[in-house]
Amino acid sequence: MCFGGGSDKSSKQMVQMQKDEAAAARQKEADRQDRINSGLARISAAFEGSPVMGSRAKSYTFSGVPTGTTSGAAVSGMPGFTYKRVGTPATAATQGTPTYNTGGGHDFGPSGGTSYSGTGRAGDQGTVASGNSGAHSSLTGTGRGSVSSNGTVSYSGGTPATAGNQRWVMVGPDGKEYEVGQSGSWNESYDTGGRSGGINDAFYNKYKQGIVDYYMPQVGEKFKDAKDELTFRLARAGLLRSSMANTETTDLSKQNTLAEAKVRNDADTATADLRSRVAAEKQKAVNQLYATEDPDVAANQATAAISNITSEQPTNTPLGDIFSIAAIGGANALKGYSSEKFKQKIPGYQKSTSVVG
Amino acid sequence: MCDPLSLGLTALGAVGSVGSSMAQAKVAKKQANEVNTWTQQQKKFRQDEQGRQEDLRQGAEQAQQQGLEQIAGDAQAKRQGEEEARLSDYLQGQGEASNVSGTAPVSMADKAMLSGQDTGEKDFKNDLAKKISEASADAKQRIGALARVGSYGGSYGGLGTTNPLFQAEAGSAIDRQNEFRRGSLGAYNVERAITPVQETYEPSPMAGVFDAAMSLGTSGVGNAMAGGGGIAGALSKKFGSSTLFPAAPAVKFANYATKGATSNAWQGLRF
Repeated sequence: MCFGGGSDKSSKQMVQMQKDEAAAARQKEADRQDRINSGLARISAAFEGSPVMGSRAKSYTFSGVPTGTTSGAAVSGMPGFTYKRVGTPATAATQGTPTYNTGGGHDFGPSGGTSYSGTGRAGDQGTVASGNSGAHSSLTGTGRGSVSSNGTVSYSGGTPATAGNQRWVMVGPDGKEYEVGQSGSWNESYDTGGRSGGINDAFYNKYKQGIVDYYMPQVGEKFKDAKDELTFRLARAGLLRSSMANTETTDLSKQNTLAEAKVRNDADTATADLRSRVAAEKQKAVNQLYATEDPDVAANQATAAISNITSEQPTNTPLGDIFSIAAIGGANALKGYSSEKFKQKIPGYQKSTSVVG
Repeated sequence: MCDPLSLGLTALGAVGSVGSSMAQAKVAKKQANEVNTWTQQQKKFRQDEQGRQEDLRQGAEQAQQQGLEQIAGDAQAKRQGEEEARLSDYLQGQGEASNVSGTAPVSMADKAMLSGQDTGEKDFKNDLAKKISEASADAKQRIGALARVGSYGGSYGGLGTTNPLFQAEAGSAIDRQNEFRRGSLGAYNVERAITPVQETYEPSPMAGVFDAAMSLGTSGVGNAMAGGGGIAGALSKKFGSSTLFPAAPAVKFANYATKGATSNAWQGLRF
């Protein structure tokens, strides 16, 4: 703003609205897909029934955790089971407070020209650095220095490292912890392959049975009538116990068998038609679901909303204005120079004087 | 050579111009950053959408292949054989819903014998049994043929029934993937509609003052360089007074008007 700096105006707020709209559109689409999936599952359950789940014992041996496992992570394929890190963690040694003493006439420690380095854990022996014996030897390594010729250093209050006993266990749904190598069993839920509810085999068999129950007795009645008629005719001809009677009887029986088979075949075919009709109805239900979840409607609404938020194409503010201004300045200077020179050529012209000084 | 006022105004104008340009440069840089951010974001939107579309396309392809496997020659031959066996048994009264409810299947032999024949001689009975057996085999063969035909066509598990069902199932699975693709694309179009943040430069209200100072100052500098009075010369011109003959008397327009056209038009005028 100062010295002609001006100010910039940003469309951040407008763009943020566009982003919010886009994020909302993406979320709506995810929700829509979830609704379609659950809608399809409901349609499937309505037409085909729900799977009948069973429970069976499954044994396992806890062999360890996969790489990168975090405590509380679920065990793959074993619902309700989690991995857990238990036990006391290992601790690092802590350095005690050093006490420096002189020895052999030489100072030892930070103030005496002999340096010491190391972690200085209590109970560990320090070592003299190779080639550094004498007055200015240097103790390196870990621990308590105890070199008579160079002085001594002792530590107090340090603690040694502990190994700890941290390990992974598997925790069952009942809270029981299983160590590595331990075996156990758990109840697994599985799909038995059966279906409960919906339009299943029982539904179709019922339909089929209805057809059989209606037509089959008619076949039986006709067969009985035919047998009676045949018996009467054979008896009247005195051929009831003849080879011809046997031929006629078995022929009649075969016709009956084929007639029954035809009834069953018709029932089976009619049931197949019913099955196709059910499938077509299921497809209609799916189409209705898609119709109620038309993505074009939602997307068009969102796009229209964004279009309503005024926007422009990006433009980079030109940087060349400074040269334009400088040119104007130069032109003005030239103009002033020329004008003055011209006037000076006019006889009688009197130069103007500076207003300052 | 130059008067200080000209130089001062020029300097002031220059400072204003530089300040303005720096501000513009800053805005331009911010705009470039915003465009870059927008480009990166659009790139991510595009890549994410491509990934989603590809996943869904693969899902559709998988459904299509699964449908194809179900109606492939081997699969159809297998299903046809199984259906023929099932249908053959069913047509002969075996299995559910094959006989009238509450009745047990009756053998052909039991059904065939006429009343009064059960007391026949042994040869007669043997002959009857033989013929029933032959008739039964013949009927079974014919039923088997019927079952075979039915298994290719419109029986409950026949190819004419199951193939369209499998294809409808695959088609439904493909439709679902395409539905999701369509929806995802719609959401992507909304993401694409996001515009970059616009950074626009608004000149300072003082910009005009700085421009005027620059103009005045540079005129003065030019004037001074030509040996003139610098800003004074420039200013006197701007305010309408002559700098050529400053001692000349002022114009008396009233006299000029009353003297008429014959009078000397230049009389009393400063040049």
